Amino acid sequence: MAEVIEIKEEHHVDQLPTPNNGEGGENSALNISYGKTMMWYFLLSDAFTFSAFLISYATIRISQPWWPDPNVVFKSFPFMAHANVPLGFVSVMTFVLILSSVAVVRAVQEGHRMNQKGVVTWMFWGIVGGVFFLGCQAWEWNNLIHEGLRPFYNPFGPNEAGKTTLFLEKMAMSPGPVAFGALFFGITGFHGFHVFTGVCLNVYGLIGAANGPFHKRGHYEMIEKLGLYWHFVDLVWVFVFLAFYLM
Amino acid sequence: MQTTTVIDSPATEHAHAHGHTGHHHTETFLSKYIFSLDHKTIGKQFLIMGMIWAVIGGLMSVIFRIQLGWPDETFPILEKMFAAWYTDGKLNPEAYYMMVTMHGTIMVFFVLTASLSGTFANILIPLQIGARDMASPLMNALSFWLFFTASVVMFGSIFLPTGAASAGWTIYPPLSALPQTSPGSGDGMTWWLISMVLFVASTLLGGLNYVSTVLNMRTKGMSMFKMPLTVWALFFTAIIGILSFPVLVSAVVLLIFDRSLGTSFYLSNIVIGGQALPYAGGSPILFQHLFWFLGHPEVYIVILPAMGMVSEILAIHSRKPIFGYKAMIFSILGITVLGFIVWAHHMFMTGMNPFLGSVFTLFTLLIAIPSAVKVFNWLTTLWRGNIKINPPSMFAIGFVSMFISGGLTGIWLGNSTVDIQLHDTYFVIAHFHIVMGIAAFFGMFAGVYHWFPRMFGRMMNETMAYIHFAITFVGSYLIFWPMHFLGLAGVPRRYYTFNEFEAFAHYGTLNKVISIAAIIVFLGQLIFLVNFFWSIKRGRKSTQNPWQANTLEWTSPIEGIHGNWEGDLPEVHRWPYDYSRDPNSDVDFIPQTVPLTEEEKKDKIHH
Amino acid sequence: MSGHLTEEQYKSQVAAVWKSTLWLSIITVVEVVIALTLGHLIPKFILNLFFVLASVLKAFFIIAEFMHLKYEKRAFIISLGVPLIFLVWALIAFVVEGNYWLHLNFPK
Repeated sequence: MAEVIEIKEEHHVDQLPTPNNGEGGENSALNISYGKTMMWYFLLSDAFTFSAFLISYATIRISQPWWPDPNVVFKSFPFMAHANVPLGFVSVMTFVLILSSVAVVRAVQEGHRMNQKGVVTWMFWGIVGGVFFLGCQAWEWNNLIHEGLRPFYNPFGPNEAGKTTLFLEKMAMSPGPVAFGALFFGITGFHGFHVFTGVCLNVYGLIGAANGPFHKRGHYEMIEKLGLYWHFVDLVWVFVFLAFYLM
Repeated sequence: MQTTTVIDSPATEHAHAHGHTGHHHTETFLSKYIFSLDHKTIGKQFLIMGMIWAVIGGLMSVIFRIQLGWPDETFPILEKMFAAWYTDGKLNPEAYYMMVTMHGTIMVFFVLTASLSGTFANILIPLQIGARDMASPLMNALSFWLFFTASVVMFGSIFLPTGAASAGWTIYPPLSALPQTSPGSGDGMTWWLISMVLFVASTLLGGLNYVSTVLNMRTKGMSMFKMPLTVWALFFTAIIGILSFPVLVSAVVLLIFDRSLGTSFYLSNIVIGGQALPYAGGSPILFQHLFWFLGHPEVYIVILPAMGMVSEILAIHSRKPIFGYKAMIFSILGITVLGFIVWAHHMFMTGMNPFLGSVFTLFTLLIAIPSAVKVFNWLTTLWRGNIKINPPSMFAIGFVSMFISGGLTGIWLGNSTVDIQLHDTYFVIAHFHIVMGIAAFFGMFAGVYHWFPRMFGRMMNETMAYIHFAITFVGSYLIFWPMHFLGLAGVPRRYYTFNEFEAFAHYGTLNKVISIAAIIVFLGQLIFLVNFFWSIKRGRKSTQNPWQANTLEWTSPIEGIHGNWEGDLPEVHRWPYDYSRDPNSDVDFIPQTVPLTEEEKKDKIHH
Repeated sequence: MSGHLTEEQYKSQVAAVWKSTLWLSIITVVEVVIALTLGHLIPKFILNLFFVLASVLKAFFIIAEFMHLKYEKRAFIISLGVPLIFLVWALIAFVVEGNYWLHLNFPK
């Protein structure tokens, strides 16, 4: 913030203004600082983006006469070559993301106590969880691509590959509804992109907490804002999990 | 008692406020006018960009109106100017569709969305609620520069070898999804999509800023229900933007996948040139649903700021309190909520579920209620007022006229049964141009004429303003009123020429009249531009409060300083509409900063 | 919210977080177990309804406890909750449409 506003006014240094208003005027209507207000409404906005994706998913899925069974599609597990563990791997992923979210909540709480060391430790574990989740997702994508799933091709289906079932020839080349692959990669990809962004932001938070600039401000609101974003990523995963793996 | 200190803009941390004294920030041309973080400058940047875009968008409409008015003539002079778009003196059909698409995109998104709320939210929100600046000036500046980048990308796409996007401003697939369907669906469409993602990011940054500024930065005494209606309208506009634009992002991202990854979100059963394409299982109607989930709230993003400014201007220039202050606020809220649940009334004829169509008809017709509340409140505000005739009040009254004319035809179109006949005809063109195009422009002009002294410290020339008003008002009706009859006769929109159709060929004269009126109105806007730039330099110096208004922006030094007020922020004691309160007093207005008298404290009407 | 907590407040908040974590884990495990074991026994509609309700419950724990919304002002909670009505209506309208396409494209 290079711009500095020059004003003449009585300003008591010892009486810090409330976080709601630079000059302690009318209090915030919602009793929450503008930074967190912005983050919350941004997340609301982002929730609309994700909802649009998931609602499109629901619409396309319900318009198809047949849809792959998640217990059949998502059954592989790393290091267990021919294992049949339906939903096993994704359960691990979900659990890791929840724990990562918890770690960041703990960091926020330590921030309220001005416990710098606690913030740093818990942020670290939050980042570890996020990176682990991304690794899992990379493995799962890789695995599904090996099984033949593409944004434009879906090997999981009742038809034989290359046969036509619709009224036009050369159509429906893939055994299952092609939308499945597109929606899976599109939506989990968009979520993964959010996780990646969240990890980057959390690293920024970790550095800020470790080097002390947040501590000097006298509050760890930045960690709170980053935390809100990180929990939102977890929240979205709940519904991605619901849409792709459970239903 | 006053000591000189420097406090950072509100977005920086308070700890920084310690101990800077007497520091003078030096400003260069770049930091003052280009990369400024001051909300007033950013507002002016939005305004100037909007003017540039309005001229470009208007010029495009002139080009395609010439084609529609004189389909048989050749125009060698236009071919000299726009060689790429003309063959043998005639506009190419591809160029015609490009013009139509770009005119819609530019006018809706860049002029009436970004520039209208960008200008007035930036200038008015901090000044009218008594804040030094926006909650985050940096995000505010970023918002402008993202908008600027988006518009440069869009403008650049016009010069691509294959031309800009030409699938209509609604970019429906499959036309927009398959490059082989039209030249504009190639690179031009890609640039359109990139530009739009940047634009949404800009809108989001701006909108979040406006909302948190209104919620958190109000000065002492400025409770939510003491805010001027302008701020209320801009506040809800920002909320609509925050909630609807992300859905456009989703729609655009899925369209990008369809275009580049071979997915089938919007595509199914397509045969081009006898060749069946391998897309299966998607639906183009899905795109329309997603698009209009943004698209319908979008029209309220366009019209609400104009409504707010007109409410304010009508009250000031008829020297009367606004009629139904809370009714106005709740009808804005009602329009906001209803605006989100009616989107499919744009799609009655797509083959959507007819039962769903009837539900959407019901919701759509409900919007007439809050809209009518607002119209009657404007009329009753004017009723027996001491109306001051001046450019802002003329344009504000013109807005009400346009809103009524265009709004009534909206009730026709909202009925799915009537829409069967009228869909995609010139009737629709007439409806939405009057109600959200011309009306929003009238609100914008009213706002510029009214707040010009606040922006530049000078008054605009009244004679030029009256000529501008007369041409625009009469001309707009001349353009769009006949279109209703064309539409009722079934003349379809977006057609390149009507000569080939026996049923429509005899409307040639009417089309000529419309085109001539369009050209005159376009030239009339140049008077406004001349007036605007001339008045910045040469206009009559304004007094501190030229309209004798109550709101806070007229208490801040008229030359415009960083931080808006010297010394303490003003304290607010009353609502902003105390006009002609005391018939025995010489002064017919009581600014918001004047404390309540003892009698007023007893009388609890407005507190 | 801002500022410094007493030791008791801190402890109760930490305990609340771990409790929510436990609940989230239990719900997830129950969901997965039901998906694997009862998937073919219970009608699909009831099963999906259960999954949706369980997910909403999980979302509640995350938003209320982790994102700390439970402790914010009521008006703020309402301002965030009310817009979600639009999503519910969008979901209903879109799914009705999707179902209509199914019957158009694959008439019985």
